[in-house]
Amino acid sequence: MRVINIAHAGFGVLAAYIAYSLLEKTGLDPLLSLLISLPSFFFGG
Amino acid sequence: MILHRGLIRPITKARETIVASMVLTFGLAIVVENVMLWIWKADPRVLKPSYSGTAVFIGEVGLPIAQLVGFGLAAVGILLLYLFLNHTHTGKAVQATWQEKEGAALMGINLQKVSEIAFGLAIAAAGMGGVAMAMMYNL
Repeated sequence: MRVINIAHAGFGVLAAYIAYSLLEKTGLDPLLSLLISLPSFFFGG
Repeated sequence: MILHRGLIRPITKARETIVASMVLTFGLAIVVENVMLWIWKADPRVLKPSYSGTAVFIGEVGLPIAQLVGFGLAAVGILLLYLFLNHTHTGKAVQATWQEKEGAALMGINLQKVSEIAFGLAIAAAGMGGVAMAMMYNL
């Protein structure tokens, strides 16, 4: 605790780019891409 | 959890944790932004799911479905965080830790684990918010 995370916005945009790439390459809906990106972000973060 | 263990945990021993965390995560933001720039380049992009360009009409007011989905996603994210923090044992441990660290530790709460979970949740919530924003604006 008592940690300020300035990188929040960067991770938000990263998730948006992952959703964009999955939509362009596999046609996966951005909402469904969250099923991949959110667990990765939780365990990677 | 990996970032927290590798980067954040070592600086929690610093004398000025807040300043150290700000400098560290500022550097992390620069790294993340430049990796994105390297992979996706700087061209503007638009997230176009199958339902983009369609709208629901309430009378004469048109509500774009993509923006409604973004709004719904944000609302669901807030609801899930609220339910986690107030109705789960781990969520209550997170609240106890930020309210009274020593007291929480005395009650047997693992402060490192709670910090890791809170940090992971914050990053995941940022990701969810980013996708919700991408539904409404250009990347």
